[in-house]
Amino acid sequence: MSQSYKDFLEKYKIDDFKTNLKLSGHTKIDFYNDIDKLLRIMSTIFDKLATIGTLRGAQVLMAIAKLGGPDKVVNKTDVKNCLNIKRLEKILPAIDYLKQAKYITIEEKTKRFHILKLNEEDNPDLRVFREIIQKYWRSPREEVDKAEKWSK
Amino acid sequence: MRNSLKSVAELNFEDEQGLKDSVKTIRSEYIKKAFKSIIYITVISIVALTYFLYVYLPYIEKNFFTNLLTTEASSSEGNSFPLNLTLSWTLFSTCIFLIVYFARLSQVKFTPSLIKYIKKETKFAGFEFIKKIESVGLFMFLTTGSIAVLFYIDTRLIQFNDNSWSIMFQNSFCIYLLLSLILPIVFIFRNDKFTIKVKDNVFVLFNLHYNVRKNKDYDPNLLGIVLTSNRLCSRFDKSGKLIYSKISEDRWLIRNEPSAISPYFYFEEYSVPINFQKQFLNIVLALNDWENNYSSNLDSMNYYFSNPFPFHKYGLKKDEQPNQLIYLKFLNQ
Repeated sequence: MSQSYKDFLEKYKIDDFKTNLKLSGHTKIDFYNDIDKLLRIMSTIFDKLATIGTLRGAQVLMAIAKLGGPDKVVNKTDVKNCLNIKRLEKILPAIDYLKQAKYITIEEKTKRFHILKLNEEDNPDLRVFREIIQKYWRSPREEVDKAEKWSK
Repeated sequence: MRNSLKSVAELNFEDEQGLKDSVKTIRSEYIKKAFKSIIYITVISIVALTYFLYVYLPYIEKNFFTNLLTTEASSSEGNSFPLNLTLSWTLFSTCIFLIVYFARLSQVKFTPSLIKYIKKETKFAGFEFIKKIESVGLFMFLTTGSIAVLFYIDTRLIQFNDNSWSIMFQNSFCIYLLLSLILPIVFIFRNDKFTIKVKDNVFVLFNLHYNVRKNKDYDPNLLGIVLTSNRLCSRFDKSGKLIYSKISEDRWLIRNEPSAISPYFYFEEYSVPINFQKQFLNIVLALNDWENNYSSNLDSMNYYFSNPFPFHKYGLKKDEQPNQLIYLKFLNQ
């Protein structure tokens, strides 16, 4: 199974324009599995990178991507719960940073109720990011639930 | 910064200034703890030395251990202190044990504020952080036994007429005395750990990595917590090794080659306080993966060895045994 993007291109001769890409039967399944694996690896990389820095910006961005959707409302408490963080103050500097950098938008419905969204209009790449995160990333809250369920 | 309820500093690793302050707090707490340990060691050494010079040495000149076990010894002269052996051994073993215990304690870099921080984080993840001290209990148990026997010897309740019995008892009791001191010391190094019990026979151990002295090559603010799982399987177990490698690879766990001293596989993860919970969950879920895949693999192997392959179903004769591979579902994922 391919773990490298280069290997993937070579395996299916995608960058060789003389050869037609024929996907049938097993090849189709392999092709899907390989893409799936590459995206899963990307999700793991996002996850690992997000835990390295002191600012929780990347983690907050991932939580918003995970919880967000066309008909979903995400507020700061949802993000805090998704990241399994005890105090909201721990993520406020990160939210401020993401807002300043225009990676997210904050809609202030009331003084306390703020809706957070990924700013996909200004940053179209965030759409792929959201798709990967929603499909492959397991949030800390989900991990805690899984670990607790297993330990009991 | 100070918690008025428990007077233990509250650590904050959320920003750079908080991180610097927290590391400073941990460092000063550690130095205080190490200093206290050194004072304890000095006091214990002085007590032991005083006893040795002024009580035990004069006594040993007049009495010998072997004489005490024979009936002839009962009439020996100069045994002015009836519980001398009991007291001497109790003092000697306690001093040695406490010196090693405090010496070890001065090396352990966990400080009250850091313990409080990790306790909070693990509690929020649904687990409990425990300080496991087995050496003290073991030492007390074994020393109580030796005190009881020595007391009987001192008060002449144990006496031997036959010399061979006396020698046998003396030798075996000497071995017991040595073990009652060595075993707890071994436990200090091997079993006294900071741990989290995940479930029965599954736990995660903690070790702290940071430099107390300021070093140019090492970031003084880097405070690493090394998480180690319980032992998984022997390194000679091939299927175990494959599953271990696969899980470690998928979860980006540290892969150390097993040493000759401990030929087992362990999961190991490195974390800093800010990502402690995440890394801890990573190792816990790795253990979950291990249990799911290694146990099911063993089950499938047991099934394979206990059930003969249905050759008739596949139109094969028993002699034409194909190369049967045990299907490891997990490895093919």
